[in-house]
Amino acid sequence: MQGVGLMNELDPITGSSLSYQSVETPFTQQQLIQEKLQKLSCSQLKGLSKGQTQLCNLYKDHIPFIGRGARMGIDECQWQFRARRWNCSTFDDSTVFGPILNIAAGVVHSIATACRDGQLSNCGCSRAARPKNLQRDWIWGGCGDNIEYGYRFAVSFIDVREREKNFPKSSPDQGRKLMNLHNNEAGRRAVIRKTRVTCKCHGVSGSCSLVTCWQQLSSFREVGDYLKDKYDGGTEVKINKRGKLQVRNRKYNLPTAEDLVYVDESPDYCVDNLSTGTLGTRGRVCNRTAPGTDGCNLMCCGRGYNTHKAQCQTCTFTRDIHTCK
Amino acid sequence: MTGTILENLSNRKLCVVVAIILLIQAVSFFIGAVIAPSPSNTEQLLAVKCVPKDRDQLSIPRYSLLKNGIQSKNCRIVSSVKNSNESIVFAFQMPLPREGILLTYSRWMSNLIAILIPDITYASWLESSQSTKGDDYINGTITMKVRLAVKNKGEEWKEYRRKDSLKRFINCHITAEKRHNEQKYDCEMMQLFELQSLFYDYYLINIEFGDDLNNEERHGYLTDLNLVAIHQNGGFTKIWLSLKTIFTTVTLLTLIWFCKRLRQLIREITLLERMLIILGCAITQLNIPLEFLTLWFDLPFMNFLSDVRQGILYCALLSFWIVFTGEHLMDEVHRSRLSSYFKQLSVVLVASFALFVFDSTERGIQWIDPFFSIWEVDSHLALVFIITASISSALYFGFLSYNIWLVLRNISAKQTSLPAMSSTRRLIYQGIIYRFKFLLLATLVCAALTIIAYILGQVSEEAYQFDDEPYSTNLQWSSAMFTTVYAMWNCYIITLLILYAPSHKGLGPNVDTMSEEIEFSRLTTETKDMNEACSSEERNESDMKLLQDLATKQSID
Repeated sequence: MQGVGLMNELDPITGSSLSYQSVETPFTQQQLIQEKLQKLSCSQLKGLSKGQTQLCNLYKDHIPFIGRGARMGIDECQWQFRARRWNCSTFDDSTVFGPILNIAAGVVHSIATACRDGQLSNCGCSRAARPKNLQRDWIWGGCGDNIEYGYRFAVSFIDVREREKNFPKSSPDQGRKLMNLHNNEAGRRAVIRKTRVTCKCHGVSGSCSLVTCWQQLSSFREVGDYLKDKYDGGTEVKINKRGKLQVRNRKYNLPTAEDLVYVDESPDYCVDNLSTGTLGTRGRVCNRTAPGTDGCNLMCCGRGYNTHKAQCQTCTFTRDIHTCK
Repeated sequence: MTGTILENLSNRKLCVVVAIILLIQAVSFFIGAVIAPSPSNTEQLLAVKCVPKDRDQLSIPRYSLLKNGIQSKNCRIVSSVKNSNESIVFAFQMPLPREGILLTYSRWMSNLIAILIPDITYASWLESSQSTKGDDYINGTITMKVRLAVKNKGEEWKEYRRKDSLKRFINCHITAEKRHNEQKYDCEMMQLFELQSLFYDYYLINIEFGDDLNNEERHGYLTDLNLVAIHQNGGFTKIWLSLKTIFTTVTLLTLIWFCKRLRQLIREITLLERMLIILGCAITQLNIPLEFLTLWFDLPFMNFLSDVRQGILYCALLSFWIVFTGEHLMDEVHRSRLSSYFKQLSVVLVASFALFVFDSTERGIQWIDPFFSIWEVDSHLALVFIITASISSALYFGFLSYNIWLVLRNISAKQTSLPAMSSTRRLIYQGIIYRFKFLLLATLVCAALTIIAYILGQVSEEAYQFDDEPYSTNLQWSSAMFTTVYAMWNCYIITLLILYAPSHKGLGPNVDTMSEEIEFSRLTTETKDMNEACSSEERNESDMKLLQDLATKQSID
């Protein structure tokens, strides 16, 4: 559940303006928020693991953007699953993997974006380890891309939570840990997979004798679409005696680093279940005529639905709204 | 042209020459691939959306970097364009800070190209009718007010260039299945400016859009503005300029040696030798590392100048090939004058001129107005120049191929009759054929390698893939391509100058000089020229040789 507690804390202040203050207006709303954030210590943030708190102290200015990335991930998840029985409303990391990897993807995306307008002044530069003389390195070969920085930061920040857990080798918990690590990686890679290479020719007379290419971030919706496809094509795995994940059904291909895996079959999400953390589909809006998962038949698990008349205040248009019993 | 060094070179020496060239190639490849960084790099920036207090002042999003945040000036930052009725300034400040350090540009980075990519979000509420649900396009011109400011370390910002109504063509597209709210259009990039010298430490761009941005017919609104800044890498410039300096000295020395050789000659200089001098001058002027001057002076014409310098080399090379094949035709026509190649050379001139005019309208005008781009202003005019140049170059290669075909045909004809010829004549023809074939082979190898390098450079740039080992780039292919191709053409011309220089050695002892007079009177003017230019002493010497030859001939008989 990385980032969720954190997100709740920081949700109102994840606007882009928070790390800024203006010369002309010394005491503004922005500054108040800024000061609040300064006082907020990382140990007060809910939902951070021990390693994440340490990272939070190191990279304090990143926290709003992690929060924003997490928010983006969950929003996207809810949008993608709006027509499913489970709509990303709440979750537990043992059975569902959608939101977690969406958060990993969201963090990569959000950090990479924040680096680009200069809001994050300590985004990384080099492809290699931290250089001794940054300015000299920058003159020699420029800086690496911000996506790479977002990716690397997300690796350390998201994965540290799983890595600091210790389970006996080949236990189911270890399997979940490995699954989460694998899916986090898949989520991060989804952002990179969906980048587009754009090139510009600027050789002699603008010819293509000299080409420079760069990776352009796609909108997060595209990343979400991609991950949804991967979710639907997830591979069931189990932990073996050597403490490694292996494909449960040998007929299927080995999942790549970009594919999603799961250890437990998802529940049907029909009724609320505290142990799996699902809310059920009671009260969800459904489509009476649709044959798909958003149709009332499938969505309400055969329990039937209620129909209300919804009427607008300003227009004379009535519409039937169907909600599950 | 009689007796070049090439013909008199033993196979072993030729192998040494080829080995040296290969070594130079290997070294230049190594320098490019391992030592140099990639030729250029990009930095992607997202606009900071400012509401300025004073619209006449510059909006500076990162005026100073404080410990607890960033201080802006004349810029109240808003997170979204949608809710705001105020006029918004899109501000970019380059370069971006990294790892908490305010980086600065360096003059070694040579040039800066800025490209805009708008982020346009689809909004169904902007759509009047719900019936049309096909792909949606946004096309049209937008007007912007652009201000470019510069600053050196420790100085204040000053306005460098401004454009109050810069027009750009916006071209965006969204597919039917993506037509939902909050989905983004795919937009083509727009060139903002190209600076041919990167003289200052910091750059700041302020952009305000005119009213034509929010067109009634459009179903999207601008949410963000991306900027891609392309600059040359300082490391690449350093290595490139060192290579240039080295090659300048080498080509200059070779050229001086070649001229000295020619001065020692007793005959007049042939056309081909003159062409070789031109070629040597052309490569030397390209090699001179004038770019060093940008380290001290703001020279906003550097790219234009280097384009022109490269153009001069291409022109010289193309003319040389035409003259070379023409001089080796071995038909009974006297050429030996540039005017004989009027037709072919005029084609080269037309192509070069069209390209020159095109380059002048693009980079020449950018010298004064960096925002100018002929493609954005009048792409038809640009196309006229490009098409003229293409047609001329097609014609040129037509001429060249035809000439080469003629030479090859003559060669095969001559080769069948070679055994029947007298020894002198055979030697002369063999020399011509050998010279021609050597150059043809060398040229073909160089051209093929250039094309391969060009393709590899493109592929390696575009293959920007994410592998299991993310971002592990060990070899800089495109830099290696540049250094290798550059060294290759230098080697090509240096080798030509050395191997096609006149030889000191005579034709050899067993030459039938008697028949030469008769048989070559119509064949090559060079021999005639030589005989005419011979001083009396030389003639005496040759008479002596003739007698000796006759004596040996008699003794053999």
